[in-house]
Amino acid sequence: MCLSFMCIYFPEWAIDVTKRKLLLKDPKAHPPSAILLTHRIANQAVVARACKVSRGLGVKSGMAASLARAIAPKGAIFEPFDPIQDASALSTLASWCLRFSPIVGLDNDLRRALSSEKNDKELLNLDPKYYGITIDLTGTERLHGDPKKLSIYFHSLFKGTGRVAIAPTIAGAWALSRYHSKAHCYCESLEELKLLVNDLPARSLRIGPELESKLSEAGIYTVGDLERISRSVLSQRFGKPLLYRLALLNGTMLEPIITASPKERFVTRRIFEPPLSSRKSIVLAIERLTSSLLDLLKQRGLSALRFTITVKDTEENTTVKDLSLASAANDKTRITPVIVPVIESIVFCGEAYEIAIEALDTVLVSPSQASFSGDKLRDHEAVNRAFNDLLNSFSLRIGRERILRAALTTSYIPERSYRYDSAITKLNSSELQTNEASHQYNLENIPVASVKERPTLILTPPEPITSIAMLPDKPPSWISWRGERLNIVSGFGPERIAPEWWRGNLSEQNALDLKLAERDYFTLQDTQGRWLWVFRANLNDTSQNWFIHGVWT
Amino acid sequence: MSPLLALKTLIPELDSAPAIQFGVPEIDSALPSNGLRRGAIHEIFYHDPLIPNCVARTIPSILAYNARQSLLESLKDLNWGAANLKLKDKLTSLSLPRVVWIGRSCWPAPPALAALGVRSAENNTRDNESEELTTNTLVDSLFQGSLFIDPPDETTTLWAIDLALRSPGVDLVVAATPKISRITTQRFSLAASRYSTTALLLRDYQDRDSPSSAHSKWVISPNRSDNDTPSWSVCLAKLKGGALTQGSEWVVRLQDETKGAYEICA
Repeated sequence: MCLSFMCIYFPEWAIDVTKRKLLLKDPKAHPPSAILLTHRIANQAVVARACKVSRGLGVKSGMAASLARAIAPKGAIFEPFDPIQDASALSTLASWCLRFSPIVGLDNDLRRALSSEKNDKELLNLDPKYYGITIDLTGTERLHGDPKKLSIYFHSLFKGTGRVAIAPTIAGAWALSRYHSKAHCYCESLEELKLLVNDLPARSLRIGPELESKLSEAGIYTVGDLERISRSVLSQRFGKPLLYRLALLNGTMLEPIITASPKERFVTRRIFEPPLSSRKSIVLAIERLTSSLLDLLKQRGLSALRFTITVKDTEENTTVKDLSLASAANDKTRITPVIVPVIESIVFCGEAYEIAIEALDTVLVSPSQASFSGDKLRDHEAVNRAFNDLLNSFSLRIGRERILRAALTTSYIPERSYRYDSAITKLNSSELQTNEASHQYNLENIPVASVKERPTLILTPPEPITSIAMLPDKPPSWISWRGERLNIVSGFGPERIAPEWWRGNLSEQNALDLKLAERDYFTLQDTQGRWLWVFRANLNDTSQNWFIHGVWT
Repeated sequence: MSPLLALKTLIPELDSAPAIQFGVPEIDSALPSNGLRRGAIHEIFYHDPLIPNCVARTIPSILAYNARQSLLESLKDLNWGAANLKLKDKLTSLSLPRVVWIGRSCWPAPPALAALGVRSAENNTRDNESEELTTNTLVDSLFQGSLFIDPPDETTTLWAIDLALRSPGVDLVVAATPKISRITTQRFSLAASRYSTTALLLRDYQDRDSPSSAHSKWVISPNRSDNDTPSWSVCLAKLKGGALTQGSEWVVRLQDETKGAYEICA
């Protein structure tokens, strides 16, 4: 069987995505004269991608945005460069292409950068040449017909924004799609491929810039030049990676395609003809759609952490409401009390003609053995579910960022010794146990003082006070706080808390920064019986170095 | 069904839930139910002219700790059959009962809150080595079983208190309460009574004379002590449905570290 691969390359993918985003934002707006995407490097805005018009005027990637503004045509739009969003959009397109072949993948370098931990940095530095899709067309001739016509079809499908090439090897199709003079081309055999790539530059083999410069130093500029040199000489002079690239081009080695996996969506949608005019019928429709969506989730053994309700009305308004839950659910009795306030908050401007509800962040439900566990355990789990429902209600009304749990951290600096995390996190299980487990803090390695040593009220930030201490390392005799003089009757200390030098080079930091100063803490009792936690910061500026940090209330 | 009611359903022996004790025999014995009654609301006022709008934090934290601990101690003392051992493990590991702190101004500083459990764990471990594992499981729960709610305004604060009191998943609500009417406190009382949840409403001292249907009213103010530990004056200003057996004002201080830093004594 003759192998056949298609590579689709989008030279201005990031610009196209931005253009589409702007169009969706305001469909009636005039298309901009030029689009430039910028990102920040060392606090300076720099051009990351420029459209063809701007490039024609001299704008280049890496140029300062201020300079690009002077060069770019009037009416040019400057948007932030978002490589992750661009790569995700291409991934979605690759999933869509699965209708043409079961094996469709992103360009390997792009996929690797996208899946890495520091994907934002890697994608930022990735050459735009790697923004492409590879489709394995082997064995699909009877389905698609003439491959040449298929390449023309794909070129027209993307309205000329994509360059298409079909070749017997992935490396060949990649090189042709990026560097061939025609926007769409097809070669049937390896011999034909050799002829087509003969004049293409050596970089079309996907070699790095270092190797490319080495080749150019030796007077090798094209693939044809490489083919004329014996393999042993190439190996000795330029190493094995070059031979590997040539083997991929010639088909003596096969290149893998990591297939894009389509993301399954759980949506229930209904279009109403005639549109729904009364609020009551809209609410009823949403409830029915929710019910059928939950049935669908139950059938698949799934529950969801997030739901979105989309209502489109006849006045071309689209209302989207997001519903985030504290724990995954697929039970109508749990969803209803949460979803009703959300429905009530929707403002309908006209008649609703389309309503859709989508379940997002779905997780597998672990089946419970109720009969084995016994009724007692089931009752107890009902209490846990009720607690989760409480979190849902809080989250909907005041936002998940205001529903918190406390956590201790490994620091002796009082204000750094704890933090508050959102109690509602993305869970991998519908059970609350996981929710609790995610907040199990290991207290073993964390310094914990007694209640006597740490006040129950910590002032953030510490408030400046005036004080007089008779001796340097003794508690003060009196302090002045909030305009009132407090005579100290007893006190103990100091407890020295040194700055955390490992957080940065202290000598280079501002010596007046309170967070970086050495502190001597004293616990004081005034004549009223008030217990105060004060400290003296060893700052360079000696005018103000006493602070009150806490009170036992 | 609140966690307390759920536990009662599960364990018939737990027919009467223990009251929330101060841990001070002089105060607890003076109260008709030997502590703060559960299923009711209690108001606590903090009086310190230098720090207006400040609420008490230490004593409510200790009360929350004692509330949780007394229920869990009841569980520990029960004769667990082999069939219920799994249930016992689950109850303890899930950090029941849960405490909801509503309003940022009432949140105790986490290091102090964490210290309540950890210090007692060390003491308990010292007392009984064999109980180490269980005790450690129990003691961390106040810190981990605490939920902190930060409502943006007063209306939302009242809504959050009401919702938490009516939630079957909550045992104790500690809230920094704005100025509220008697009707609101009555609504809270009814919710607390119906759902067997308890509320400690930490209120501004200036509102101490406003009508309220709280079961008890307490005024806490700093008190000068001769020891090196903080001390407060605790005054019982109102107690519904019961007469005091002894006086109504006590002085409490944090216990010596050797005896357990989480306790207070007269």
